[in-house]
Amino acid sequence: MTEENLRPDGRTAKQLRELKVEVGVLDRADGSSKVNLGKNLVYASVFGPRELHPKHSSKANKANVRINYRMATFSVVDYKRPFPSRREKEISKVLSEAYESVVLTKFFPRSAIDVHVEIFQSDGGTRTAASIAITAALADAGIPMRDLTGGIAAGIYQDQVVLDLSGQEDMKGTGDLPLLYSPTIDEVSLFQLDGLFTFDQFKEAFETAKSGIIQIVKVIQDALKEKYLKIRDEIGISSDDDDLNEVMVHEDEDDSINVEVTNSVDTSTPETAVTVEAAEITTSQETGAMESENSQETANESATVQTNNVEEETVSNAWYSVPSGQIKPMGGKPSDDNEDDSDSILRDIEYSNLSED
Amino acid sequence: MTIIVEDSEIVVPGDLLADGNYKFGEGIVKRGNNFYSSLVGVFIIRNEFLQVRPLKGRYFPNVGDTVIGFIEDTNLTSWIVNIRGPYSGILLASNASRRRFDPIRHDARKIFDVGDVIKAEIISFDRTRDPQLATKYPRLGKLEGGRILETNPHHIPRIIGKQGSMISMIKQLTNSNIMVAKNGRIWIKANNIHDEERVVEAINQISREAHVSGLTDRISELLNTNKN
Amino acid sequence: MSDFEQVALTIEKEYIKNLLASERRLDGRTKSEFREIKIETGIIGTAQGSSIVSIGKTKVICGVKAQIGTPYPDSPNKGSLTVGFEASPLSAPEHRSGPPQDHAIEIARVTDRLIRESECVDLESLCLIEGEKIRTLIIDIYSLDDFGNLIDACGIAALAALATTQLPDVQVENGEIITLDTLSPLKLKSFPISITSYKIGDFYINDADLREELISDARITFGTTETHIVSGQKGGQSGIKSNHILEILKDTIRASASIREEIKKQIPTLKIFTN
Repeated sequence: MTEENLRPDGRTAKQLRELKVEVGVLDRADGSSKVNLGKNLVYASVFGPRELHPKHSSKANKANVRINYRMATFSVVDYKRPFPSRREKEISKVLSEAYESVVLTKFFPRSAIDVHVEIFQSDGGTRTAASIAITAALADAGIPMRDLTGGIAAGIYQDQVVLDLSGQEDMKGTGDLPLLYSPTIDEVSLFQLDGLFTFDQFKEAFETAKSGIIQIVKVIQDALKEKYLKIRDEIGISSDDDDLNEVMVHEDEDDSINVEVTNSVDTSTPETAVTVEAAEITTSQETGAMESENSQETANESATVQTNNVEEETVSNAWYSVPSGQIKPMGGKPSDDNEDDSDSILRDIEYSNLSED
Repeated sequence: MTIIVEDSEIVVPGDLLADGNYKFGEGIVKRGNNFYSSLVGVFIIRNEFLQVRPLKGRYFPNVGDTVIGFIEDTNLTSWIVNIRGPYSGILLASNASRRRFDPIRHDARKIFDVGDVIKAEIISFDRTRDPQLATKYPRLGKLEGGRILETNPHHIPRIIGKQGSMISMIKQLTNSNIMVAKNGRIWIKANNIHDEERVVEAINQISREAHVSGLTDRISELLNTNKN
Repeated sequence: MSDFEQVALTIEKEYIKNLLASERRLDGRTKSEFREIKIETGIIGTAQGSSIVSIGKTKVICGVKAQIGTPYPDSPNKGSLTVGFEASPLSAPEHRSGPPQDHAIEIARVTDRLIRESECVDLESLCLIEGEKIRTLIIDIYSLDDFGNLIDACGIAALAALATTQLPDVQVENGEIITLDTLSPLKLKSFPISITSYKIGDFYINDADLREELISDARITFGTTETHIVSGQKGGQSGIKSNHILEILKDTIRASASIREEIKKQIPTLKIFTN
């Protein structure tokens, strides 16, 4: 390192490259993002939760998070062959596992959450740049997550711990430690290391990466909010207007209407013909909501790892349903209030009209 | 008992919303006494009940929902229906019509064929099995004519509006027939193309500004200015 | 199970046909009108030429890589070029990762023929040492957002990337290639553009969007330069009346001229070096 302690691109040791995150950049995807980290250019798309093909690989109690990390042929200085390399497959696997622990997969059993992330220009640290894009795209897709995960590498360059190695530094560096970390839940979800680290260097690199990730998560948060705040600002109406709230209240009212169960319940599907009182559901929802997951917080202090704070984590089971948790009984009655007189366009099914030859 | 984020604020996963003893619903993870958002959404507090309303995301089926589905495949006695959710809907012949279906004499394809658009109700769904649909109840069945629009399912409450006020207004000002389904699909049929385009324009604006209040006034202004 | 394939809706087909009968389209365009074309170039530093092209919401990214290789025995004095296309899983739920699907290979081949047969790249100028060293141009295109008509977007993207390609200068010393730090632009000798006409019922439209493409019965692509017809491809499961072909071609030539104007406007440095 030069005397001014500057790196080849002029950064200080603990300085990130310029980071730009945009969400909702691709419209066919359920969620998407574009990330520039220095010269890295990354796009990510999320599709799902959707049906999983092939079906036999589905899990009965949770969604599969499948991350597909790829590099474009022209993303590297030399030409990259178009089919996936061992490196791309390994990174896809560790990224998939990393996000399995962050995404609340239990809401979508048997389904798949597919994330495709593609590097179009690379300059060191593509897997962590990819993770920034993946987190932003997953959140943009409305996928429930325990926290926002950020990713960055710290490494050793000219015997000094530096944050966010560029391609040039990575090549000349003697150590690389890519990390995915979620600050609020304080969990590491991806960790890799190569090179030569002393214990003190490792400790410094680990803390450096963590503090870099806190800055990165802030950028992701701002990008996610900006999209919506921008529209709000354009129109120039403040958010505390209560029109929005009224709609929600209306919804509650709407759903608390007690629907009578008609007798037209089809006996051929008895499992659907369950009548449940609203009150019953509410209680069962609440007890159901106690389903918990123990998250172990680990505090790392001078190599002695102590386990503390076994904290209970709870999510409401009332996912995507109304707060009262009421389920409308099936059948017989048109269920929405926005019905119109469109019977004319609904052809009554008459089997007798069908040819039987 | 502290509320950290104000009501109606836009929040993102990991945001600490409140601590204390609250009831909570979708979009929230509770750790210890702390409540965190798990979604990008609008934070809602109602009588000590916390919730994050998602701004984007797939439709998730609920029993009782009316959905607009596309027939993807036909079997001997059932249809696979795309309802835009994480799972395909299954429509059994016994739920398609009140009449008895005989697979030997009747051809399922003559009732609903691939590419047909149906309005159906979800009669059973418990995540362990695919949602079961029915079209045998009144006002359900195959949709003929008109056009289909797909929008963010989380905007449907806004498109319907308070007591259905928004949708009634759009129908009235464009003189059109509109069906809004919970899975974010909207069927539109008007007397002329111009009016249909006005409906599409209005719905697109609602979708874009769904989280911003004062929407009814802006839509009524739009529809009153683009009459001709 | 139809595995994320998009379903062509019966009522949508009817609706689009009825619209076309009254000279309208879903988004208000005329039959021959393109969606808005936007071109960005020079975005990828690791490529010698690059572009992001959008036609409406359809978006593709293209990079040109120049490598040093050996010539084919039957053309010792010519460099080579190849066009690849990947229907990226980024761009639509129905594009899965894995080996390229047939329709992606077709788009790659149609675009390859457009660029190759138009002779817009002078392959002889890519020869460095006859019979030994040549330049190879690898033009790879990825879809980012698939809202229909990827074929035409790929043609424009390949052209835009080539038009802004800067090749490193080389020096030949004792049969060895030495790459210098200086760059020279690749000179284009013609201006190829492909335009696809989609057949819906009895109508032909340009630049089908996603819904229109899905319900179209057939399509026919013509690649043209300012002077010649250089490539063609008929696709889709229905036939096209032979007496329609000439009409379609005439419309294509007209539309291509205006697309060329649009491209020139967006890439001011674009120059065609005709002999």
